Amino acid sequence: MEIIETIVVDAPVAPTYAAFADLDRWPEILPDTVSVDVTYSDGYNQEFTMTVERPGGEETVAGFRYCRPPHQLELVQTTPPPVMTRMSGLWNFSQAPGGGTEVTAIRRFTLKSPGEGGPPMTEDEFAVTLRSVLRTNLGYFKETIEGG
Amino acid sequence: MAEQSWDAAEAQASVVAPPAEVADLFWNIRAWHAIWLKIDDVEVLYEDPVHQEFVMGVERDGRREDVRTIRFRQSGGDINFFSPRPPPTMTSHRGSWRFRADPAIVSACRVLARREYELRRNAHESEADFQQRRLDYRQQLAARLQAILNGFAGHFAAARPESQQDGTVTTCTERIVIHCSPESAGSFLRNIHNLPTWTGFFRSIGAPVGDRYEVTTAMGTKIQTRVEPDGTGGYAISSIVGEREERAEVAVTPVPVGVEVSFTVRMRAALADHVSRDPGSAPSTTADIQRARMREELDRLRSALSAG
Repeated sequence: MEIIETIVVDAPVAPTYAAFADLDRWPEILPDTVSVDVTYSDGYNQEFTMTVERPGGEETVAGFRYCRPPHQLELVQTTPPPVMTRMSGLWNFSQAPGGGTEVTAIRRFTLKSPGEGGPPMTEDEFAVTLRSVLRTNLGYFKETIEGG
Repeated sequence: MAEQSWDAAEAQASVVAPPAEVADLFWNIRAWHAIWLKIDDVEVLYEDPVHQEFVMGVERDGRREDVRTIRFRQSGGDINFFSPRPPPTMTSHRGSWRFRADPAIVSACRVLARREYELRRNAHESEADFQQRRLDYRQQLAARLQAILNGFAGHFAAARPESQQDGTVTTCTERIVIHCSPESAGSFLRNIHNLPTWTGFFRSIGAPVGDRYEVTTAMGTKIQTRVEPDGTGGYAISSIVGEREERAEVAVTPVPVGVEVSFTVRMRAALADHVSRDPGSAPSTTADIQRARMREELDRLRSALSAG
């Protein structure tokens, strides 16, 4: 299942990309992010673990990002959220036609079945929830970047 | 692209296969074992169509190294990677494999390999010595990359349809004398569950499937294998790999002090004659490397039979 959300940030591409690329800033930008531990970073590749608050308690995911500054970040979670078997995605950054930066976030995921620990809903239903979370998070980034 | 302290090494080679086919084989990390013989084993920790995480055990300068690597595959087949656990001589390691159509040769591909890395500085190493070692290492790494690319080029050359090659087969045979009875040697060799004890290729024996067993190879792949008596006191190890049968033969001949065991494999001459130039070593053919590996396996067989 793939979901896509887009937002326009009133800022140039480079600082917008930089805010998304800097995982150490995520806990100050996203209220549900408890902590991030970047275990490898060379400017282009990152390995990380991230703990977030969820209704059922804290969840820790782990994964890697491949950074193509300032236009794209690619993500794979080798330890995805507990309800999923797979989670990967992209952030694309481009100059918006009317000015600012268009940020497009893409997520591809596969849910576990309810019997394996997945949620009691279809992927289509889950996608609605995940899209809402993605939209909210993009909004937090927009607020932070535009606030300087 | 790289910061000041990163060094870089590059190599390239032409491969007689279309770029997409070559890129697919480079992405299939479990298949590398058959092509780059310095690999001891690969454990794939995560895999989806465009991402991989694996730990590869490789032999370098006579020592084993375990390197954990993450690979990202681009839509055109190019592969970028980095190693959160790099080779022990490095503090950082990343690189790429790029696949381009070769305008000089129809249905061929030019493979471009690049590594960027930071060498680990030894304690008490002078600046001059370190700089010299950086230069030397870059040359060695470029040669090693070239050897890997040559291995893939040789593989594709050997895999061309028989109508496009001479079909000559090279036989590799190694022998060893073991102080044990022909009966105990035969009993050990015909038991398929003993294969992981002495061979490097067969990792574990699974459940029976028809008249064969599902076997896990050192690369983590599953194949179907059986041990067949050849009627003269020897055995053939027969494996179904894809749509092909691959066979190795083990003959047991009584000698005054015990038995002589001979181990034989056959490979296409184009692959057997392919020359690898590994840094620090004399150039060696795939057949040479195969024979060295077979000698190690026969030594393990002797240890197993002696222990028994």
